[in-house]
Amino acid sequence: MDLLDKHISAGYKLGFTTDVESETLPAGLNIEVIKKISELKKEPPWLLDFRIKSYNKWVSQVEPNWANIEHQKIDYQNISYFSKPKKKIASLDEVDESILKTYERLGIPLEEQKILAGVAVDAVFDSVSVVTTFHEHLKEKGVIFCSISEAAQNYPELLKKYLGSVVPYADNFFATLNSAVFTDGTFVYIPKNTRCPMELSTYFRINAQNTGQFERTLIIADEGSYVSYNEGCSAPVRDENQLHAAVVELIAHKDAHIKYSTIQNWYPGDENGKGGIFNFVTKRGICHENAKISWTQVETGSAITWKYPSCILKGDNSVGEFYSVALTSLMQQADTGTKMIHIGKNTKSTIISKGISGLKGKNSYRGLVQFNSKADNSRNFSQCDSLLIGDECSAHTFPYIDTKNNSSVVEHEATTSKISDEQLFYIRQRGINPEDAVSMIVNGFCKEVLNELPMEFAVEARELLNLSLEGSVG
Amino acid sequence: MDEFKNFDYSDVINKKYKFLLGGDLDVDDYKDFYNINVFNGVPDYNNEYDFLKLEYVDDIPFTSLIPLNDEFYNLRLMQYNFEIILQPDKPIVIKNYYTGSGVAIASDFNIQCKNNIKADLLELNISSADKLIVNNRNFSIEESFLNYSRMDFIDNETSIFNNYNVSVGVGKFESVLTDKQGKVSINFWDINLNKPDSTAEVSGIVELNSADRHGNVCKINHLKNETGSKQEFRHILNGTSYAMYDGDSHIAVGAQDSSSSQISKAIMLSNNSRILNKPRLNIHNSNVKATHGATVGKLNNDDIFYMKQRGLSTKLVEEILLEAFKKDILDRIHNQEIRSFFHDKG
Amino acid sequence: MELLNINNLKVEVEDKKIIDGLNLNIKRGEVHALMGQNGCGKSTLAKTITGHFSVKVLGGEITYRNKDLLQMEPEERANRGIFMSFQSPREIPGVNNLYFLKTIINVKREFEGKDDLSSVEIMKKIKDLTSDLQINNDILKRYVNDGFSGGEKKTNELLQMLLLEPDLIILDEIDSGLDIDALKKVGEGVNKLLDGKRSILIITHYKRVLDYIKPNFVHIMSGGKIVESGGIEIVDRLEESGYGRI
Repeated sequence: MDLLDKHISAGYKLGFTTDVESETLPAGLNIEVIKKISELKKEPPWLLDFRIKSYNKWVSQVEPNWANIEHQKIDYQNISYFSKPKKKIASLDEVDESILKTYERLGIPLEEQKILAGVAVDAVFDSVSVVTTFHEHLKEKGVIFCSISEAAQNYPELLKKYLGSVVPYADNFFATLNSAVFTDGTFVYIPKNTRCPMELSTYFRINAQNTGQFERTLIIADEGSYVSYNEGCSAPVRDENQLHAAVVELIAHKDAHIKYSTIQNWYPGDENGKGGIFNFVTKRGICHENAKISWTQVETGSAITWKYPSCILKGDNSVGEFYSVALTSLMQQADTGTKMIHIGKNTKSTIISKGISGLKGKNSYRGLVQFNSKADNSRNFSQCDSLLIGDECSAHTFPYIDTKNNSSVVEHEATTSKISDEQLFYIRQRGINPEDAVSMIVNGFCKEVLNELPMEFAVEARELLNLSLEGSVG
Repeated sequence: MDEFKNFDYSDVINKKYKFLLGGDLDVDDYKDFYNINVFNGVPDYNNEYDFLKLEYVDDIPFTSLIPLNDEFYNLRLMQYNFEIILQPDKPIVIKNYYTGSGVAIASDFNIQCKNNIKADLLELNISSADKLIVNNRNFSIEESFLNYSRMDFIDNETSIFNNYNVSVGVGKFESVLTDKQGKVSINFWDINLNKPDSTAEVSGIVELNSADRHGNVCKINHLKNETGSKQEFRHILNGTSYAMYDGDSHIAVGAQDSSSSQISKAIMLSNNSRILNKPRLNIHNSNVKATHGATVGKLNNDDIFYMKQRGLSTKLVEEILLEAFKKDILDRIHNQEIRSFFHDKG
Repeated sequence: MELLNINNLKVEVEDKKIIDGLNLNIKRGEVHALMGQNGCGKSTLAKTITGHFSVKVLGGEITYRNKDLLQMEPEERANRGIFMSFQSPREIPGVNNLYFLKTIINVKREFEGKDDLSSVEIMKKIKDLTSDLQINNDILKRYVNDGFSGGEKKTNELLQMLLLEPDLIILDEIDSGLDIDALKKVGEGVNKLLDGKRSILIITHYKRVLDYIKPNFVHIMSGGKIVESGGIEIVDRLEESGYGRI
């Protein structure tokens, strides 16, 4: 097993910090801080009310402890809830050179390359959106792609109507916290019968120390529209844990299709479990009649990942999909999965989850598939596979399948396998080096999920998986 | 406990329970069994068979955690040791008769199998009026093979809870349960595979009607290398019944080359019934083979049509398909006699 | 003597009209071949005659031995002598094939008011047939069609047919999945039943099967109705010009 044990500690490549002057609120959370955030962002009064209502609820909630993860208690008073680069930005030209450099180093140039790739980017640096590209171009089609802060100023009706409509403000401890303190994030609106002409993408970066990131994403696909949206995340190497508690809400109206892809590469901490992002995220979408939501995620980062992108299949004939690769190496812990709630007739859902554990990683799939009594002729297919590399990691599967309708069909399959020395030997005997052999096996294992990603992101995801496993074989 | 012994059960056995056993065939027609009658938890057995040693252990207080008619009961548990010391040449049948209504009754047996014993054990629970039955069964199997099966003849006013603690050290434990009816009926399994080369198989058929509630809660701990476990439950649900399968396989760090499988299948005949499946896996070791699967559905329309085209009525087709659904499980009963008993009575 | 009478039949499947005004009469002792391209509605006709759940009859009538067939459950149609050899026979794991054969024989006998045959009598009947047709007895021990090869499935259909001695035999694409030898064997088996009283409806896309089971009448189906009827000469013409001409 020596062979497999070494590979992983190649190091986190995106762990640099950016030296930029920022304005950060002192650590701590109370009504005054919330009022200050709202004031700094010049928000309308209803939004401040939403925050205060959430805060008051949050105070009475307790942190959930059912997940299969262990971590030090989070001190919510030791976190700063707002940080932004000091310079005010009016256009891309004015963005701080060092921030632009940051995104270039991350492989996300905000300008020309992306024009070629045809991807519109919103970049969120700590608590604020620093730049949104292709803004104007999209506007011609009626597509709104801007930061949540801008939406609060420019599209208050839409925001007010949909904010908290899928993830209610009191949904769970972390979502409620987000509802109280969310700083920025992305707002997307696709008008009726419109196919969004390009991939939309948001890149999240936590830079400042002792800062939490609480972004909020809201995507509304009006009747008959289509949008493909991607998010990526990274953070510098820091010894202390940083909290990330985001909320994503998707609304797919009649006949609409939303494709939401995530490549999550927050700092995972070191091999002793020091540092790393605590990633507690609530993602949920609602599908109206004939609508479809596809979640695809590649989770390689964070010390802790706690997220369950879910679909409420409310409308008849609606479709929910969840494709996930979660990789836990070092001392990482992931408790992730999905909820598919079948309410409408002829609703369909597909779950493909691939968990990979290496070194001392702990990987849990947790999922709920529920068929309500009115969900006639609905179907679910779930497949949850685990791959273990090494002897100290663990894999856990907690599928809950609740069926109240006898015309529904559920199929659930799960397997656990490992990369064995024999397998490796066999491939090496054919002349392939061990690292390529591992990546060959891992890529094969994840293929069904990676195929769901838009092309540019699939390449990135493959590289990321290989990087994260570097050092697991010697 | 003498008061139980002096009670005349012949009347009970001959009259009261006959209908429960389904017509003219009585359990006692199966002459090829060694029969042991147990009345309200007290075995009517005086070590007549040289292969089976019975010992009274203790009288321990026990509080039922499950209420009957909203009351929690304090029970005296009379615990007995059943030790299979020699190879029996025929299957052993333990028939538990429960009397009284509106009461809670418990029975507690330690069943031991050591030194190359291969035994077939059938247990029957027989009760008509409403009550709560709690059965504790502690199996200890060492270098032996026990094929255990259970069938209940209870009405849907009775609730029954079976706690099985199983410890296997080099050997094999296999069980087949068929659960029918019962107001609330739950089997709790806690199985430890303590030594290498130990295996456990837990299978069951759950057939529910009206408002029956049923649970199979099955935890299997693989503690040593080369241990194997299988769980498979098949459900046939009708009425407003509710079944739950909560399977939990733990594969410990030292348990190399182990395998585990969990399967739950359900046929829902009614649209008002419900099944909740939780096939959970906890794997702390990379060198294992673990699978689980769950399927839920109704009978296949094309299968039904094919058989109707051959002239069979819908009712008969359903019966045949449900029998076929149960067959794989019943085939796991090794002893031919016990298997035919299940086919006749099930 | 009239056996089956179809008059102005209109049928839809999944909200799509598949059969639209079809007429067909089959007398006792006749062999009819119904030919047409895939999707023309020939298999739907077989499903309509046997009462498949996916079929919705919009209009028209079918009488079988002077009774309204459409009012009957699929099993009653079967018990009254309609047998369909399925294009893809269902696999039914868990149901022993021999048990299944015994059951269908006795159910039909019960319907006809006859006494059950004993296991020994049935076994003799089956063994006679299997040795006559050179069928490997192995298929009796297995589950119904479960894991059977294409040839074994069709052989099993044939065995059921010979045991039930039906009056109207519908062969739905009987040659699919069969090589020439197997098809020849099935053809011989079917011909055994031709005693001048039984009738056959062969549903096929290809001419091949008609070399083994000779039809008296050939019908070409297109767009949900029969567009041409005649003798075997139609088949030869089809061979030359294909369905495109129609």
